Amino acid sequence: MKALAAKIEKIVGKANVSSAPEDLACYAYDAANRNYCPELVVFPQKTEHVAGVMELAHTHGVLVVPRGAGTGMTGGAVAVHGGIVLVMTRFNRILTVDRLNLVAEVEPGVITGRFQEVVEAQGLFYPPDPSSAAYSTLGGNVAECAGGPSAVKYGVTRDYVLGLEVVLPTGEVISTGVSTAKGVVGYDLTRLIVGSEGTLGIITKVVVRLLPLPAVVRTLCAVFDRLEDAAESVSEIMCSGVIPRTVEYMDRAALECTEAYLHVGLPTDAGAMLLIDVDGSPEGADAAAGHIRGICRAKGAREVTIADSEQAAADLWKARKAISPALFRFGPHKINEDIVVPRSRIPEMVGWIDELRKRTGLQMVTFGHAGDGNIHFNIMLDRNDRAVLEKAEKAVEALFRQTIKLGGTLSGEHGVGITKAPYLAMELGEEEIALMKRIKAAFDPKGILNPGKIFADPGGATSLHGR
Amino acid sequence: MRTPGVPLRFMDDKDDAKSCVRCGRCMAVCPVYGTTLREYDAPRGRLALLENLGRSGSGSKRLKEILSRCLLCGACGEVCAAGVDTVSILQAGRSRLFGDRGGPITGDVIARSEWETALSKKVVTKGGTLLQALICRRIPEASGLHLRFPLRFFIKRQTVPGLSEIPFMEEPKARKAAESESARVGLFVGCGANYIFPESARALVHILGRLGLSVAVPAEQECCGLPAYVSGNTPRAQALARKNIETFETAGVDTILTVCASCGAHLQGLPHLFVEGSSWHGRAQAVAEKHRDAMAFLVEQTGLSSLFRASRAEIEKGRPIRRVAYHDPCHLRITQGITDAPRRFLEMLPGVKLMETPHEGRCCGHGGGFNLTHFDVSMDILEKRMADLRQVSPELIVTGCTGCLLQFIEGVSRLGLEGAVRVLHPLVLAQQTLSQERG
Repeated sequence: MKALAAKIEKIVGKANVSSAPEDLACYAYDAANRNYCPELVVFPQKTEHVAGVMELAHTHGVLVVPRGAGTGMTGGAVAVHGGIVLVMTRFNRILTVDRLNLVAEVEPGVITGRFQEVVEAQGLFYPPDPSSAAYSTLGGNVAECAGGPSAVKYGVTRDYVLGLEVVLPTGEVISTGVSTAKGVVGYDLTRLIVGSEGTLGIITKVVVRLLPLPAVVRTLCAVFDRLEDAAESVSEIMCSGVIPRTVEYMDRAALECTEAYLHVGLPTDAGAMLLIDVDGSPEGADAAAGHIRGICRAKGAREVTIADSEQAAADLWKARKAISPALFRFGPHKINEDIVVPRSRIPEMVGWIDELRKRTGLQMVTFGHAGDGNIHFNIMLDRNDRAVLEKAEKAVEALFRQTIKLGGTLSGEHGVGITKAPYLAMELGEEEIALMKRIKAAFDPKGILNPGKIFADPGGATSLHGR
Repeated sequence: MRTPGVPLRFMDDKDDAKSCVRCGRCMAVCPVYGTTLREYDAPRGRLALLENLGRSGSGSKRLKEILSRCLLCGACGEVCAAGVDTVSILQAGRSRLFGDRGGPITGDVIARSEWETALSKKVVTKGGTLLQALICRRIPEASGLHLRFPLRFFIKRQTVPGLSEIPFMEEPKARKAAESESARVGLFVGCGANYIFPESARALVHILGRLGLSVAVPAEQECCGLPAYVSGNTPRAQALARKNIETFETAGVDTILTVCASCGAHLQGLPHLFVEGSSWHGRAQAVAEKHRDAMAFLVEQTGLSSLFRASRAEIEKGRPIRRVAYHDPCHLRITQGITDAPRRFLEMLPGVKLMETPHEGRCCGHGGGFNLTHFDVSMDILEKRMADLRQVSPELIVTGCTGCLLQFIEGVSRLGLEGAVRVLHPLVLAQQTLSQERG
């Protein structure tokens, strides 16, 4: 590794390579909060740097793990088997914003929130809004196919990526996709690489599609006695011709937990609360908000409020945004799964989770994106308590089985990484997994790029929630 | 370092349940990470290192360097979902690694003032770090050695008259105030106001006088101890705290005012320096409870608005209204939770139009000794804040913190705006306003 480090220093410069134990320790984790120490950290800034490093790594059979801001939830950015962590944060330029064609070229290390700020200043809109947008990178969002609350109307990261520049594990640089609204020439490598969790190549440039920025956003909040009524309202809204920008729900446990933290008078006796944003022209958004209020009332909402100012809207969202800090009152660690079920089956799933909570006695809170069936399932615990940890692991496994049973998927937006790898076969068939592995081998014959992700290692080196 | 993280060892027992989950939220607000984009400059990175270090670990040179690269602005703790008290943990880490060994954390400059020199009245810490450095560097200047920013800058500025003038505490007015026995209000001057910006302390005394309040300036007060504390020298910080506690107990005042956000933040945190339940802890608590930021205190005085109102028409007649940008010092906004009071104070001033700037609350990048030892990073952070401020084209940048003031003076100079933009303490602006009225 020492000789290799010297060669890499020649490519990226001495200041951009480190093997100091202190530096390595800071690149040993991501938001999945496991520790796997790399042997070298490298900070490239140009496509040639990445290509040079990959060529060397391929020649010497050294493992490489690409990393953005390290804010992924499933361990995608950690060096499970050691090797080099390739930190992409120096790729932080917004190259072009083409207003006429609604297209932008961006380097992968750009913080998503910063990119949004820049395009919005020009009246443009990049909709994917993961809750980490203020600190995660666009490249990381692409690699994980990040979603967010606005997915219900605007889709997820994949729906905005038109093309990519990618360095293959063997060192070649490829361009995929188009810079146009349409394009069907050849296999869709772009879509294959989006969400591939850094296992197929290292993204060095992203071409994204933009939209015009909606003029206004209106927020409304509906309180229901019964979760079922809230769920029916959502289904009704979605079929009614008005598509809200976000439909978030909080169940009673989430309301209670958040109220205990915020003390703002949330309806803790309610079955569920919906938080709905609509956007568009001022007239259009007002009409849509009124229309949705009508549906919620007809479905038995006991209270519907439409925010009359930006401040009032922010106040309504405050509860939703406070869930995360509020949860930590129940335990120092969080197991956070992002299952998805068909929208209409949310009440069934939430009811089942309620039972699971009673049965296990674990601290569980669910909330999430009711509009698209994406449920954030959280268990709060102290990981050092082995008995509780084991119980939690069993609960997660049961949750996954139930999710599949209801026709859902194990991950809506976090990816598989290492935390969900042991459960891959619950959702995918043997043939599908085998095909995926052949695709991986076609890109990465030596298996040096981000090993141990998606496909569980034999021997259980990446067992769930263990470390 | 390869061992998986062990629980934090620098936390108080009561906080033991809270630990960093590495979500990354802090990275959105950390000024240092935002500039260098290196994980070891992110709050969660520093916490990871401290966790790995454990109670028995000793710090490497690299670790010390990393821990020194924190502004202690507290922005990370403010957004932390898990409620981790990041600043205290980092502080404890610094104290653990540097404290008893007396090694420097923030570089040679603080080392000189803190460790090599006996701490007398003349040897101040935060402000004095600068001053002493200036004095030290004068010799190299004379010998033709290269002088680097920011010291060369300060030597040339008229804003460092404290260097050659009498410190505030030795001015006749302050000396007289020291003897005031009837005063219910005491002033903790602090090094910045004593040596670098005495006009801010003078302004406060003046305004209090106009409100009919006499103020005591106890002569026996010392540096607040923040620079010693942040450089890991807790014993030194404790010694300074004890002296200040005794001084203000003797003064018998009900309220202790500060004009510098950093001094104020440190006085409010004094109890943390002592073991809970100990007598010093209780005495520190009593002092902390009496402390008020000068502006927060002033806006509550009923006479203040009428004082300014009386002269508004006269002052605004025939004079253009000045565009004033207020900057929130981290030690006021985050540590003391004060954002409204200074704005209300400024809005009362005749002839002032208060401008809200983009990214309100962003750090200026000074951070005490950070500015001296990590000057380039500090300037990169400053550049962003200057860009925010320039968007509203202010004629005045006002802020109530010694560090921020020094930083913006530097920022204005670097942009060549000296004639166009002035940097002032809000109290000084208020006093100037009041003197306009007279004539």
